[in-house]
Amino acid sequence: MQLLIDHVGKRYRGDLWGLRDFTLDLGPGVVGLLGPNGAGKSTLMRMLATITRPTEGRITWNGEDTARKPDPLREALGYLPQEFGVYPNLTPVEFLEYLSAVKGLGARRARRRIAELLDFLGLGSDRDRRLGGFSGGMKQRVGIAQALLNDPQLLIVDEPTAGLDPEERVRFRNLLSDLAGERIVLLSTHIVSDVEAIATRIAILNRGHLVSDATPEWLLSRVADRVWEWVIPSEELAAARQRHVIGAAVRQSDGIRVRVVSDAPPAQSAQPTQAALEDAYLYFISADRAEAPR
Amino acid sequence: MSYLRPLYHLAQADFRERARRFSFLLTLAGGAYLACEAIRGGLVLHYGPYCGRYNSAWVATGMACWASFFLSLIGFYIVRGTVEHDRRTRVGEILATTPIGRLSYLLGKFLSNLSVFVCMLAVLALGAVVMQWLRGEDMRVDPGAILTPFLLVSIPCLAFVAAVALLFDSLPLLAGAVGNTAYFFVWLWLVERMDRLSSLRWDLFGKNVVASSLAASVQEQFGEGGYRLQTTIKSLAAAAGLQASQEYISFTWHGLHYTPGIVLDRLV
Repeated sequence: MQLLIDHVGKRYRGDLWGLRDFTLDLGPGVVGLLGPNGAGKSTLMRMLATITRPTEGRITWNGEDTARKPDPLREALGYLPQEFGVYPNLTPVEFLEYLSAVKGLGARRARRRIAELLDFLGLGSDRDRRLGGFSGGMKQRVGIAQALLNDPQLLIVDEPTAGLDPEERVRFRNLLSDLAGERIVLLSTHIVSDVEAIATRIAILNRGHLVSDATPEWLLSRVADRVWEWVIPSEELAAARQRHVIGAAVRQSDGIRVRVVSDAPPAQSAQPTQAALEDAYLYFISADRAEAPR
Repeated sequence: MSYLRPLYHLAQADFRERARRFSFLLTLAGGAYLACEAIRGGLVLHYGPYCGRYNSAWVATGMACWASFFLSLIGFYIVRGTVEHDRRTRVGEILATTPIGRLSYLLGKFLSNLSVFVCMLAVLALGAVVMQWLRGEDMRVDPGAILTPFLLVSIPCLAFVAAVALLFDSLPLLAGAVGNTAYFFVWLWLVERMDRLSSLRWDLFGKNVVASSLAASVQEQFGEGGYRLQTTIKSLAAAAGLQASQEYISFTWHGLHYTPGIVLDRLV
């Protein structure tokens, strides 16, 4: 099972590129695709899902070019788009029956699979309710159910936790982690906490190109001695923001405790502290921004 | 992969989604109102001064003609928007990642549009039967005479509307209000063109097929002809100051005799 993204680029119009010279070789496991809004994540996801074709480069699934022969990948693919909507007047069973038919599942297999998935996702008791009355988290679970109908080898989920409350987010993350097993799960997000607990590998994108592709441990090691915290008076926060990339600012009785990633101590009173994945993300993104032509 | 199963489910899901909306019920209620108006005589189909006896053929043909006319306008606005709905909900993106092709997708949507129309026609067909019984001029219900005009007058016309709605949905230029406005003017143009048209082949609303059969029947029974097939809405006629209480000459019409040529013309 191999998904190879080989020097892929996508041009929208004129000289506007959504993605440029992107290369990644993926095998089983959860791959977190991290990047700010507009980094090119959705562009990449749509190409991987065979919705659009690359302008340059090629994507291969087990050696087959997906632009020329999309069906082998489509048969093995589960895809949950960003801001997924539903048919509000259908029940989850009806909606999933519909999508299982277009995915090519036979009637008997589809019925069995739908019952399994609804139970697995905690929707068994809601199988006859209309989708219009579901909460955001429940709709998202229906979304993941449709993505899993064909027991996909490649599962692509684009910003799946957007719009979910904190409890639903945790539940969704755990669900993706449970699903990983012997498949490639590609999870695109701009929220670091979505991937830090479950990703075996993290690719960071910015400005339409790959900034880093590494394990979470390697990313953490890169910022291990570069994370600092210190307390500043609240009126100095704006000035500190101009000088440093601030990862967190927590108000406390003696001022504001700020956290920054920096090669050198940002202030005399700054103390080194334990690095988190969010620090690594900020470090790589800000370094990439610094390299951007003005 | 079987070709028919995904197509069937695509059309079925889309149809269910729309058939459970409140607006769909309102439209059916509109159809029922149309039937009620016809029953109490507020809506009259007539060929010049002649009006048929209310047997199965006459009531069903009247309903089918009105359905073609009214639903070719209102129906367009009812069925359009299905592609846009898939785009907005991103279900379209999911479908794009499945082995189902663009043509199958459009065919499924077309069948769904057509199913919505068939439902409305079913209400009108039922209304035709009720109308026949309530008028009591001929109590023998002939299912063939009830169904035939819907199949060969209304469905070809509404299949055209279903396809046009899909075309408008698929072209970004015609999406939204621009398409809605453009269709209204296209429809007005079609009404005007069809009114002047004498050919059976391009007769979108199926009016000429009915008129030619009525002309032959009136000619045979009364030895005159050359009238036009018209619908008088009495309330509108009265509002316009026209004489609305005209007495029509009753005649017996046994329905359309479809030849293979006529069937082919309607299919075209």
